[in-house]
Amino acid sequence: MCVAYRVSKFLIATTAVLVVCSGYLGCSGVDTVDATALCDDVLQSISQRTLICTNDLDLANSRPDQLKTQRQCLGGQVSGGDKDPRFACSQSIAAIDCTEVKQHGDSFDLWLTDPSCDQVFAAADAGIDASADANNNTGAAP
Amino acid sequence: MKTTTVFSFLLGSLLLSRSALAQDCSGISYVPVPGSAGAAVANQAYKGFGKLYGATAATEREVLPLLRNRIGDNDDSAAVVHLRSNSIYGAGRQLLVAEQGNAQCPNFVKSDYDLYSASLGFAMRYKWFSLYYVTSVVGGQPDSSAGGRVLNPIAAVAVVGVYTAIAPGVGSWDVNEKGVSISGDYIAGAQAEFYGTNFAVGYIGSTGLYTNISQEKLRLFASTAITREFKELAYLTAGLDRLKTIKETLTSLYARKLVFSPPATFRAGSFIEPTTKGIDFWTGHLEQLNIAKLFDAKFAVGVTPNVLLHDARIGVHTAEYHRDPTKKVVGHDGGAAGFEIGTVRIPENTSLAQTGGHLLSIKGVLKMYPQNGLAGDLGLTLAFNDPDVLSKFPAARNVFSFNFGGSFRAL
Repeated sequence: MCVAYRVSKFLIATTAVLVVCSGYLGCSGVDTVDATALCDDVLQSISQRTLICTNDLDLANSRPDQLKTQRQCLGGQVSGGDKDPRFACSQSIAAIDCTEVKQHGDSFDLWLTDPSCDQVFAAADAGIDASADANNNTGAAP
Repeated sequence: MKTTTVFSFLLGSLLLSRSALAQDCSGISYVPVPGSAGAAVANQAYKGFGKLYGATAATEREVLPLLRNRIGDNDDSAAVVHLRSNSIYGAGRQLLVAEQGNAQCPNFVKSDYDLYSASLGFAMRYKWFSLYYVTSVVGGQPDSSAGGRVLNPIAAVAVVGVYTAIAPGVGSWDVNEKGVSISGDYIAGAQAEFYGTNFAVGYIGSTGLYTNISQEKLRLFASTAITREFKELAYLTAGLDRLKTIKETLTSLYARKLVFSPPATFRAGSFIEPTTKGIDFWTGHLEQLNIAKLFDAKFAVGVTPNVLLHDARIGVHTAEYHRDPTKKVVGHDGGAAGFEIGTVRIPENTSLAQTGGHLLSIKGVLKMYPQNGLAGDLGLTLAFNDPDVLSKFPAARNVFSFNFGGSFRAL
């Protein structure tokens, strides 16, 4: 039996698997979210800077949890394009250099000094409303 | 051919398959939120796979073993071609925003992103000396249609073909535009055999060194990849590879080191690679394969950064699924199938949005064996949370992966 025939059989099988699986593959895995998703992204940014600057994985994992216990995540809708001012919060954290990361430590007032972050997390003195469902919190300006 | 032309071709091939997130929003284009942490992780995933693991995996698992004295009746010379396409669906999630606001469509979404990779290798041996050249590309995009997810694995094969032709001239690739990313890398090197021991060394296009030593009869091996301009030991594995022990049982016992690199930092509109070293992920592996020609058992323990059960799987397969790697591949008509189920766990890493915890792992494999003209196997794998995938993409959780490919004897 010639090689070409065998290869063609294999390719047919491959295509068949892809097509059969396309039921799952057709699910694009997309969820509509509001600005609370930016809170998770900011937390992740803080973790990234902590890891890059300290090489301490435990600290990089725990520091975002501390922020979550201290600040209320705000929600609201996000405008199209890259004009939404809240996008600048993660960017501002990414721009913090390693000297500052070490100085900031767990002082989140220092991590979140960029004005854009005021619309992502509530001020520290606002506390945490444990009963609030962050996903339904639309307190932030759109 | 100009590099920019090739980039355009490659980007175009992926962009063509991009689609909208919902049927009613087909005209809306979504792009990653600039500077977001998720976009940084996605960027790292594209580069990590293409720049290191794609090429090293193809070299180590496919090309070098085929070069050794098992590929046919003619021991003096051989030439082989290896081609494989790997796709990872939902390798991670990132925030996307509509480029232009639209009242009927969401402005802000969280979306899976996929990775499409392909590797292509050429190798030839004359007596004890061999030369090999292996390239790998990976492309990713922030959202996919069903059609794109079916066609991109095949498109990746075309892309790696183009890259193979130009890789030594352009070096490693790294391009990212509107969330669509393509990167590529290559390994070119030589292997020499002395008294049943193979010594391979190769240059990694992204400026690094690959080495592999294997003792055929004792089944001892060691592989390393030194990257970042020869400064970081990014990959190391050493131990026993499929040593025949009790009856037909094959035993693998090895240690492995991978590096979970921190994501690049977004500054002034582009991603900057961090200079700090990554997190070492050391694991120890014990595999008992082909038990009673029917069962497999695989265990792996993570040692750093945390002690954890990394991988525990059992498998069942047909009789011809595993072959004694010390024996020559001779004419054999037929195929084999295997199925594995178990658990896999990756260390918690908030910077990558990896929450840790055990995940269900399932894998199905179909193989077609050669009779004439083919050097290795034609293989097709469909998996959910494949430990091999998750350990190389530490941000991934609950991902489907699919790969197909084979090795062909050209001489």
